[in-house]
Amino acid sequence: MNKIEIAGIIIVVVAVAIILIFIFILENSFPAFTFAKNAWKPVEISEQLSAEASRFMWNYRSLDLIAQVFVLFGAAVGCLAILRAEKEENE
Amino acid sequence: MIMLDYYIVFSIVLFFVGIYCLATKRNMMRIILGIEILINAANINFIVFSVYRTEGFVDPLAHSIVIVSIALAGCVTAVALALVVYAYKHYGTLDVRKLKRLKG
Amino acid sequence: MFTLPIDILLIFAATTPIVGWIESKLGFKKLCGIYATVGLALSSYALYNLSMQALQNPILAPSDAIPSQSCLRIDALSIFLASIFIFLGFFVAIYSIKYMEKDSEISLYYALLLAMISGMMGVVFAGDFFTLFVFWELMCITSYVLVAFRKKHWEPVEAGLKYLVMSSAGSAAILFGLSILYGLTGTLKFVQLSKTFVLTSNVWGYVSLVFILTGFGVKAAIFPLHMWLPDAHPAAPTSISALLSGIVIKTGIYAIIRSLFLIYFPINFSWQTALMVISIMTMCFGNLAALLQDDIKRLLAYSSIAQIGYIFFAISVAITQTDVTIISYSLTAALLHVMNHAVMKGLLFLCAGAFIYKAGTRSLRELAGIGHKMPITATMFTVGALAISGIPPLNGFVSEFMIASSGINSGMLVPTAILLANFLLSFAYYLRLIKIIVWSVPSKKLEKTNEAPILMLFPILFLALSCIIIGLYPNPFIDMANKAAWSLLKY
Repeated sequence: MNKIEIAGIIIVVVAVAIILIFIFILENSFPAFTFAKNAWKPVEISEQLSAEASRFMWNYRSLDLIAQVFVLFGAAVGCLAILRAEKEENE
Repeated sequence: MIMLDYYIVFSIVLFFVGIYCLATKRNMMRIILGIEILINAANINFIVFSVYRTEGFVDPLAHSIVIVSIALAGCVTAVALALVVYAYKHYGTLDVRKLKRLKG
Repeated sequence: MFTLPIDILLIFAATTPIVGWIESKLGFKKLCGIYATVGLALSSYALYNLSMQALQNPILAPSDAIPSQSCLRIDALSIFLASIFIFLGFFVAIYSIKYMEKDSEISLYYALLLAMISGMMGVVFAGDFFTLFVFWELMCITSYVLVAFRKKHWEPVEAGLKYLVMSSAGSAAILFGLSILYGLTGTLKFVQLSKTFVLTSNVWGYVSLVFILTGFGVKAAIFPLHMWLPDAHPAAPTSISALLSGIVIKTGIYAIIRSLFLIYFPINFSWQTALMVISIMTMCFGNLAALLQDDIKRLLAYSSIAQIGYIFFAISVAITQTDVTIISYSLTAALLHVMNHAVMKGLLFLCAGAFIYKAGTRSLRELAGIGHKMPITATMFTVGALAISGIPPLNGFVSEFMIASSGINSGMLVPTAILLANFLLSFAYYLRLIKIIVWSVPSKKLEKTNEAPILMLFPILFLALSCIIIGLYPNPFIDMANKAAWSLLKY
C-alpha cells in the first residue's frame, strides 16, 4: 500500500466516525441541565460580564484559585528540578 | 441560537482528534499539542454549556473552571517541555519511536 | 484555607527550597530531609486533631458554602485515606534522607514530595469535583517530575515522559467527563450531585461515566490502561516508587469509588459485569506478567497491578449487590486492602531500595543471596512478601480473606475461584523472590555489601512491625474501614 491509499483509508474512517458521532448525538439530543435543581447565580451578558465572572471567581472559587497557585508552584519547582545542572551529564 | 448538539459534536470530534494525535504522531512536540487539544475540547464544552443554561445569561461557574483549567494545562505543558529537552539530550531526536527501550 | 493538615504541608513545601538554600550555606546535608519530616509529623498531628471531629460528623469547609462554591468535605473515608498517605509519606521522607543523599538539589525533591502528598490529601478532602481535579493535577504534575528526578540516566526521562503523556491524557478525559456532568446537572459539588443526579435512562450518563472512569482508571492502572505503571515505577527513585505504588494509585481507586457510589450508584447501569471482567483481567495480567520478571522493582510494580485488581474485584462485588450489609462488607474489604497494600508494598519497595542502594543493581540474578549480607532487611522483606501473599498471621491475609468471602457471600463463585487462583499465583512468585533473596549463595560481587544504614532500617522495621500488628489485631482497623465504607454509602 502506498501513502495515498493509507491516507484515503484514514480519511474514510474519520468521515465515518464523525458521521456516526453526529447521528448518535442527533438521536440522543443532549438534555442540557435537565437534572439541574440547584440554585445558581446567573450573570447577564453585557459589558460587565468579565468583571462579574471574576468577582464570582474570587468570591466563590477561591479554594480552587489558591490550589491552582500551588500547582503553578509545583510546576515551577518541577521545571527547576528537571533543568537543574548536574555534574556529569553523560549516561 | 445554534443548536447545542452541534457544539457537542464539535467538542467530541475534537477530543478524538486529540486522541488520534497522541496515538499516531511521532514528534514529541506534536504529542504535547495533542494533550492541549484534549484539554481544550473539554474547555469548549464548559463554555458552551455556560451560555446555554438560560437564554441571555451565563453561568460564571463554568468560566472560573475554564480559567483554572487553562492554567493547569499550562503547568502540564511546562513540565512536559522540560522533560522533552532532556529526552532530546539523551536521544538526540524528537522521534518517539526511538524512545522504545522500555518494554511496558 | 484547606484545613490545617494540608495547609501545614503546603507551607512546608513552599519553604523547603529556602531551607535548601540555608542548607547549602551551612553545609549540613540532612537539613531538608529533617525539615520535611517535621512537616509531615506536624501535619499528622493536625490530622489527628481533625479526625476527632470528622469521625463524628463530616466537616464542611467553608461551612456556609453556597451551591456553586468550592468547598472541602471531610468524612471518615477522607480521614482513613489521608492518614494512610501521611503515614507512608512520613516513613518515605525519613528513608529518603539517606537514600537520596547523593543527588543534587535535594531541597527541590522534598518540596515536590510534600506538594505531592498535600495534593493527594486534597483529593480525598475535596467536596467539589473541580477542587478534586485541581488537587489531582497538583499530585500528577509533581509525580511526573519525581519519576524523572534522576534525569542523568535515560530510563527515568523516558518513563517520565510516557507517564506524563498517558496520565495527562487521562486528566483531560476526566475534565471532559466533568464537562458533560456539568452540562447535565449544572453543578459539580458532591452534595448536590448526590441529590440531583437521578439518571434513569439517559445515554449521556453513560458517556460521562465512561470518560470519568477512563480518566481515573489511567491513574489506578486498571487493565487496558496500565502501560505506564511497569515503566514508571521501576524508573523512579525507590522512595518514590514506594509512594507511587503504595498511595498514588490508591487516589485513583478513591476517585472511582467516590464517583461510582455518589453519582452513578442510583442508576441501574448494566456495566457491573464489565467492571468485574476488567478487575479479573487486571489481576490475571499483573500476576502472570510478574511471574518471570528479572528486575525486582518491575516485579513489584506488576504485583501492584494485580493488587489493584483485587481491590477492584471487591468494589465490583459491592456495585452488583443490592443488600446493604454485603455492600458495606465488600467495601470494607476493599478499603482495608487499600491500607494493607500501602503498608506492604511500601515495605517491599523500601527493602528493595535498600538492596539496590547497597548492591547497585536491580537485577534479581545479581541480587541473589543478598539476604546473607543484609540479614535484617532480608527478614523484613520476607515478612512483607509473606504478608502480601496472604499468610495468616500477617495483615494481607485479613483483607484478602475478606475480599474472597465477600465474593462468596454474593454468590459469584466463578470469579471468586479465579481470585483464589490468583492468590496462589502471587504466592508462587513471592516464594521465588524469597528463595532468590534469602536461600541463594551470594555471588562474588556482593562480598563487600553490608547491612543498610540505620536511617533506612528504621522505616523498614516500623512498616514490618505495623504489618504484624495489623495482622494480629485487625479489629480496630476493620472498624475504621467499616466506618469509612458507611460514610461512603450515607453521603
